[in-house]
Amino acid sequence: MEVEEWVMGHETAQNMLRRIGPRTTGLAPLVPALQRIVNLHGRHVVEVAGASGSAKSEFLLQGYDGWDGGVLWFDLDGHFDVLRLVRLLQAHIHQEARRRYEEGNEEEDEMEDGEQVLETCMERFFYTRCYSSLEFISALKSSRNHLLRAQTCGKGFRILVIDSIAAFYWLDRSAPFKGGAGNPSLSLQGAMQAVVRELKELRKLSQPTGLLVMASKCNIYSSNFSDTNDWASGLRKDNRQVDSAHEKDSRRSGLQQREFMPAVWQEFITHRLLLQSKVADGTETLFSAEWLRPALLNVDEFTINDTGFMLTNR
Amino acid sequence: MRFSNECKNASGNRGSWRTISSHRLREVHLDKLLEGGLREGTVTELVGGSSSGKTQVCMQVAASVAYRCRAMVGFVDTCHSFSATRLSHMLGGLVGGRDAVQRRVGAADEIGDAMKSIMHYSIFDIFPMLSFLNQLHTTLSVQVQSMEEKVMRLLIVDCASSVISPILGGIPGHALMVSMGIILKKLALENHLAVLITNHTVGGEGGHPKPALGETWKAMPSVRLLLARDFSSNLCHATVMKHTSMVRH
Repeated sequence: MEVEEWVMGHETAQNMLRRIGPRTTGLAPLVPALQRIVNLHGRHVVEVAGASGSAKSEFLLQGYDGWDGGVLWFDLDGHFDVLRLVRLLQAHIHQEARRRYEEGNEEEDEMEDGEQVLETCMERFFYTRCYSSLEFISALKSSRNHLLRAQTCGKGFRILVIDSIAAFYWLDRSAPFKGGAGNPSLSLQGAMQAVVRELKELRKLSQPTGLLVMASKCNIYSSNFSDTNDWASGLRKDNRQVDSAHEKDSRRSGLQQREFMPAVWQEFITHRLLLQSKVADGTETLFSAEWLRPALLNVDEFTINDTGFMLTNR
Repeated sequence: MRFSNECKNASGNRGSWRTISSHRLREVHLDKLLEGGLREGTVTELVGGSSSGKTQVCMQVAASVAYRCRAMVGFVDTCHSFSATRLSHMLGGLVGGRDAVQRRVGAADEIGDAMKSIMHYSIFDIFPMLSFLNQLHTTLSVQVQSMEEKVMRLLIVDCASSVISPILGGIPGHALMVSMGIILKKLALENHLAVLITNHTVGGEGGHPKPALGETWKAMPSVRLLLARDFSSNLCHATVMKHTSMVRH
């Protein structure tokens, strides 16, 4: 009775949702600014932009914590501090354990459990360092196998972090620009296209959960930079086209945050968060986070201490 | 100089991070400021105006590391500011204490040994600088470490901005600057060096001096220290780029 079987199906929709539901629901983020965007899930690409020293890497570190999936971390600018990550995880674990103890649910043997949780968290963390665009692209290619292998074990990757995507911007831009199809050069466009292609490939491989891509981007141009001696005219045309779309963004943010990444990257990202640092009168520095895309009006301000981000006002 | 071991037992990750503590510098506790000292695997930048003491700090750090840690130090001098006499005085101060009378026998040998482990290179242009750094990276990577030989632990580039500023302006200049940044970071991370570079200041908004070399270079070092000289004492501010915390002194 094949027709009957075909009509009945293998499982009901409810069962299917129950099976893969927990894996596709939004990742509950711990960072306050991320919480505003509900249901950040695997098909999103988040870009965190800001001037240097505005806590971007910190932000990315915070983003990874306690999720039941692996993290692929690509460090392109050498600013990774494993001690900081461990300290953050320990702080979170202690907080969680204390909270549970206060609620009376668990007993107070948190020390052993804490160590074990820390170990499991660190086991899911994979770190790669790259010193050029070529290395980055080849690292992305080789993580395909890694991803597939991890998926068969049942522990797929859920987040891919790139810190920072603009690290090789000047190097790629100074490569000779050979135009024309069929001649893939290592110019900025070519490199970015390859990167985006690899990221899409990785995302396709990690269905159905999807892979959340988070990238940080340092603002290379200061606020009053004017690029008058730009020789790559092709590149300039692209910039002008996307300028009109993002002019609104930059004017709203107050500063002249010039968008310099090529169009293929700008189209790839779905969310953009702008971080700025303001020096307070006291001893601490205030950081502010503002969602540019989708454009929200609220600006979150926070400080950083040992346990992570602390919101100061909403 | 203290040579403290900070071991992290994170599973699957790198084991020990060693911190090289730097010497106490007049009234300024550079150790405390840097939360332990100059760290292996990081690039520390000293920013300051002219005659704010950057070269003196560099030489003092070189002397301390050479003497106390028994390690090799590479000193790249781009502006003829290195003085061997001054270095030997500093080493004398470290070896025998402030009182010359209390210098013990063999102190001269110790000073000599320490001086021998500080390698001085004079480089005045960006291209020799890049080729030197690449060569250093290759040499250190293939070096087979034996127990008696000293290994290089610290690289000082004084002053990094004087080789970069002349070529800035346009895309190739920025690309060369970024290449130098990348090779310095590679040396720090892959060859386990602590890298110390100096930078001068230019006028910023409102008359406050800001570090030279622009926004792109600003993202390069992990730690940045601003040196400002007051009349009698050295005021030291640590700014921005530190991973763990921001400190204002």
